[in-house]
Amino acid sequence: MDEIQEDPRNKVPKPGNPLHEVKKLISQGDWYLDYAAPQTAWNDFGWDDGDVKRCLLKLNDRYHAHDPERNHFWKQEKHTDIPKAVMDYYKARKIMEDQSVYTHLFIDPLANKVVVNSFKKL
Amino acid sequence: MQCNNCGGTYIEISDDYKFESLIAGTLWAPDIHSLRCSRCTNRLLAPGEHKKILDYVRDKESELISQQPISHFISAGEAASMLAMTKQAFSKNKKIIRGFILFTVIDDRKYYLKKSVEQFKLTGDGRICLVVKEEYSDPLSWGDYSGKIIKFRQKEPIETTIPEGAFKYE
Repeated sequence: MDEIQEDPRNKVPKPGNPLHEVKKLISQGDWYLDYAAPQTAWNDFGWDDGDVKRCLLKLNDRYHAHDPERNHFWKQEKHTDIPKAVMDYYKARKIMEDQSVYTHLFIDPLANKVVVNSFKKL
Repeated sequence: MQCNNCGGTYIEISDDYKFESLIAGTLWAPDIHSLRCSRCTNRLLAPGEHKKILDYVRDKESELISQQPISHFISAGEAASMLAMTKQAFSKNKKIIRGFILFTVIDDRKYYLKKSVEQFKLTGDGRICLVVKEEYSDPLSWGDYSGKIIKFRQKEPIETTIPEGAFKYE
């Protein structure tokens, strides 16, 4: 009997950078932040450095479209300028103190550091 | 490390960080280390520098708030009643805890800026600008600026004090 093939359209998208790895690097301090993020986080949410880190550590990798209120992972894209790097986009509604955050990040394959190159109000 | 914007190379630099504060206007946090792309000038910040920037911003904002006349501040109870809240709801409000209403601490008690409470009531954000923006870029408006600090609009902040009686354009 033929094995039933799973329809690729039903495949649930997952981040290109495993979130547990991202969180591990952030916890270790191996990460860089978007240059404008301190100002955005402070002016939009009243968040300081610790709050931004706490928010990133609260992200989940469940597919956003399945439950936009609870799931955060939105999509992944190949990085246009850095070979082997994949950018993950997150839309996290009411992730902390009822605030919604849009962020995208990737792990730099050579430096093995997380680069959070956007962090702003959703 | 490669630039995430153009694939160029990052170089580590240290310079002043421009921060547009809602309360204190444009601030320049000194000696902030960052990575700057040598090709497209895109920048990244190490997380330790984030704290340094906010320590500087907090200091400047608190300094400015504490310079407001004492008569412009009200107690937590008065602020709560202005917002039609109980004192408990006021003290537990996350936005208020985060500093969305400007306050100063006198003898371990918080006092709230009345104007800021009013603004919070209207918009949900009481962080009002406490600096008066002055611009001296128009030569036709030149006058007697002796003894005043003149701020020129340039990429890097420059402050020049003009000695008493030096320049007088009338």
